[in-house]
Amino acid sequence: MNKVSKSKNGITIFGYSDISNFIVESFLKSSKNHDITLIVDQKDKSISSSLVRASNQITLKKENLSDALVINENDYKNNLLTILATNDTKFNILSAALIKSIFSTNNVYCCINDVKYDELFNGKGIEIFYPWNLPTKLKHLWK
Amino acid sequence: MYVIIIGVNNLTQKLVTSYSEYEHEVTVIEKDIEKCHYFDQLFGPICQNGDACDPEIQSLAGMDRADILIIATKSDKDNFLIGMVAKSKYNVKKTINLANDSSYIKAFSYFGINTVINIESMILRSIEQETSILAPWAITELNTNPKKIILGIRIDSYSKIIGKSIKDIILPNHSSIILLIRANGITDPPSEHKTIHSEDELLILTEEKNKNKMLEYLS
Repeated sequence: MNKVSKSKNGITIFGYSDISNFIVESFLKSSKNHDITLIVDQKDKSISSSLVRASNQITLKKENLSDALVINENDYKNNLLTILATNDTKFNILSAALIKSIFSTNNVYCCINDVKYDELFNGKGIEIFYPWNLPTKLKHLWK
Repeated sequence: MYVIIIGVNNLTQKLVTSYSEYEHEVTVIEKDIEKCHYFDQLFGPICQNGDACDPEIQSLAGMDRADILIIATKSDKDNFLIGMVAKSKYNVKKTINLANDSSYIKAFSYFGINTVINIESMILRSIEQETSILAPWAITELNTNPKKIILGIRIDSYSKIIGKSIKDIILPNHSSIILLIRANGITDPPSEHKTIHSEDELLILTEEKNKNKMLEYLS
């Protein structure tokens, strides 16, 4: 398993979804130089052509996302951003919690598809967002 | 006491039987309606049908007045989410949560799940306890600050403290031997003149941070 970059400009995004696609493209369109790693599940076969084209600008990794080792064996401590953006809300929640608990890192963003869980991490250092409503703090990073 | 258990399975059946004997009130939340009916027939109407990850289902089950929540499904994603919803929305006092994959134990603990059970760790601990020379087993953690623990330790034949009396054993600060169990099973209060023998077991109260220092001393 290749380790994720420890760059302070590093952004790690988990999941192949409309929202992760949008976030990656937004970063790529911005003039800012980020070290982006996109980790998708090895079952995700149909990676979009735009992402494949972008694969020389980002690090695209296929991993078994149901294996907690994917998270445990990488280092997100100095990441500028870590974004959990798969289509599986429960995966995003548990993985965001795992990253926060291991690395005590700030700037962990967790995408959820259900407003029922909006207060789950209140005051716990994980930012919850919806695919239809990206946090301004996040958008500022590519604007 | 009001206990909520997630999921119908063999463990739940044993727990419900046990809690009912002591006349505690129990509700089981279960997704599968057939399993709900089965349990209701066995124990009376104790099942709330629905997904325990859903705050509304938790509300219907009376999570806001639960004293203990026991979560032991096969999915760590569900186990974590159910526990977090119960804590954040209904302020449940005590949650006991199964972590099927030990990698997630840290996340469960970090986010305030009171007790995390991991089968793999329990098996490893049992094996260590049975086979290793100086493998301590944690008996309990106390809610003190700094955190104190009670450990059980079996003294092997190479230990430096064999032949020493208890008054000559210098444990780290704020640590004490609280019980001596002889190899033949007889318990001995740890008065100063008692001597340590091979195969004795010691119950020791110590601060968690001193655990390794203590093991080094006793080995």
